[in-house]
Amino acid sequence: MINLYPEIRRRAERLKPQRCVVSYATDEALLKALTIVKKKGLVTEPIFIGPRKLPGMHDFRQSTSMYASAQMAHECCIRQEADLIIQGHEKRQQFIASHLEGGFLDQKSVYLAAFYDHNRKQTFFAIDPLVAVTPTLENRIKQLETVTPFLKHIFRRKIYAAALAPIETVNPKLPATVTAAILAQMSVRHQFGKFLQVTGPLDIDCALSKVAAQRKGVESKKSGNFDLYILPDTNSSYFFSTFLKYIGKVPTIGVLLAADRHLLLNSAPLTISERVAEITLGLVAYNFSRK
Amino acid sequence: MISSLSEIEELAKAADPVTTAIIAPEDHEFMLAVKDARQRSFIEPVLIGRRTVIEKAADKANYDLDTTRIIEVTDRQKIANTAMEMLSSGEVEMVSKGQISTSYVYRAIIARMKARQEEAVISVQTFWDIKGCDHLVLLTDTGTNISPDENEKRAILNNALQVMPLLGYTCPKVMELVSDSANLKDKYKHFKLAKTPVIKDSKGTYQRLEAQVLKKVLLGEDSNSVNLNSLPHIMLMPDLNTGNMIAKLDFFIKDIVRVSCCYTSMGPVIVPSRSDLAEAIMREIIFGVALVAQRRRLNND
Repeated sequence: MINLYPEIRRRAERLKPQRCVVSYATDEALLKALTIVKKKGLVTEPIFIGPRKLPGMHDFRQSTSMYASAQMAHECCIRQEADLIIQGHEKRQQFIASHLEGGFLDQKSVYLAAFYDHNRKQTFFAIDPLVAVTPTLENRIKQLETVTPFLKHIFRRKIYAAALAPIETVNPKLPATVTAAILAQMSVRHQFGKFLQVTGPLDIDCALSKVAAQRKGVESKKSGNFDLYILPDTNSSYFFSTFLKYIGKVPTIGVLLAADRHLLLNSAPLTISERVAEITLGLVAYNFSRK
Repeated sequence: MISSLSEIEELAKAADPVTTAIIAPEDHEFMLAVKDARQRSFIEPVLIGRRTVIEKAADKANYDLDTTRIIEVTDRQKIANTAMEMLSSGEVEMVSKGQISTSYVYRAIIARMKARQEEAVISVQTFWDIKGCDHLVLLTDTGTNISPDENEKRAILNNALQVMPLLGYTCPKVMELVSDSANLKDKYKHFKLAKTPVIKDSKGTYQRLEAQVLKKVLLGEDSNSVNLNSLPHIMLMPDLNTGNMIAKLDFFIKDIVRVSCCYTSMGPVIVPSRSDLAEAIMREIIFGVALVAQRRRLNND
């Protein structure tokens, strides 16, 4: 089904079929991906909302505006016609805005980006390139409370996270170093439970390379092998994802985890295989939150 | 236009050795790089720092210091200050950071610039040589300004525009990075965008890219395939968190080779990371030597 993201694939193996609604569906690649996911028995017949019906859209509802499409998708979930909302081809701003205005995103909402590391043949995650622009410590704690149980579900083991900052020592002039140190200490005291260990502050070279960490005198057994990168803010996180995806050619997908329901954003361009993986990630997240 | 680090190396090879003040080369990897750079006639080093520690590092690197000048200074800040004074006076043409915290070096540069009554906004320029891209890409600021305001960003851009012509980029394409999500928040008034674009009027010194979202620049019209050649020559980073993190993504992306420097009116100050190994430090030295060679050529012209 998907060669990438083996951890996600494993978690999807025993899922019961879910119902999806695609908002502003004009994207043929998404249609192909949904056909594959449906054949695998992960979804039932999707609901498509959009300006025009394309071949293969059996349950189609018309809406000419992007904003109205997003709202209709919402209503499908409220009426329990669908479990998971998938962003179609509308602008991401409009899609998220409709959810913000609908009150479906709160402080615990977090966009969890997943990357496939070809070298390690393993998935790693990062937060948060989209939701909290300049996260406070409180935001970060709430986001970790959302993300940790889900990642534990994915990996079925303890999660190792790197709290990133521009330098590896605490400097009050650099708030990211302070936040990272606090999160690390909180994890030492098991304030996120026993399944999350945060190391920080770490600058990116120390986080990505054991040799670099040793050169800087940083003791970090997990350097080069973290499961989760906690980036300081939206800018750094967004560009971390963007550069990895477009320049590093690292397969990148994601899901917006929210208290009420999860959203799958259209992080195009994705290959069909990546799109399948992204839908699967959303289904795993939905199934986990329902439990 | 110099499009790769291999072309940079050719420039450096053709140059006479560059007298270089090395700040605290008190580490085996730095000493290996200095030794190699001297043996290959790229530099004539002046080592500044604690003599006994320098000698120990040299011994480990099998580097005979008999004909190398050492200036004994023990205080970390004074080590950096001494190097910058030598650069300012013209006694050396380049400075390289050794195994010392970068903050000492930045403080020394700022102090010297103030003494010379120059604008004291310093910034770090990181160059990427990306496989599949037909030009070098400069990312800045990747090292000093935590959250630059408009004036600081203009100064950062001006610093970048000082160094680019040395590499043959007379009218580089410039892009101020703004994240897609920042636009989103601004548009829907959930978050007021604090930083406004600083690139307004180039006066012919650079080309401004209209698109601010990197994805749009890379994907172009067809929206499906990435064209690395469409990357701008200069990318202005929104803040230090981003600049620092992106600059060092070469630790993950093997198609990128990185060099960094802090270019000043006095000459280049190269700032290898304390995590860099000898090979990477050597690359930075070669880069600095090439910049000095180009300065010499322009001065002679």
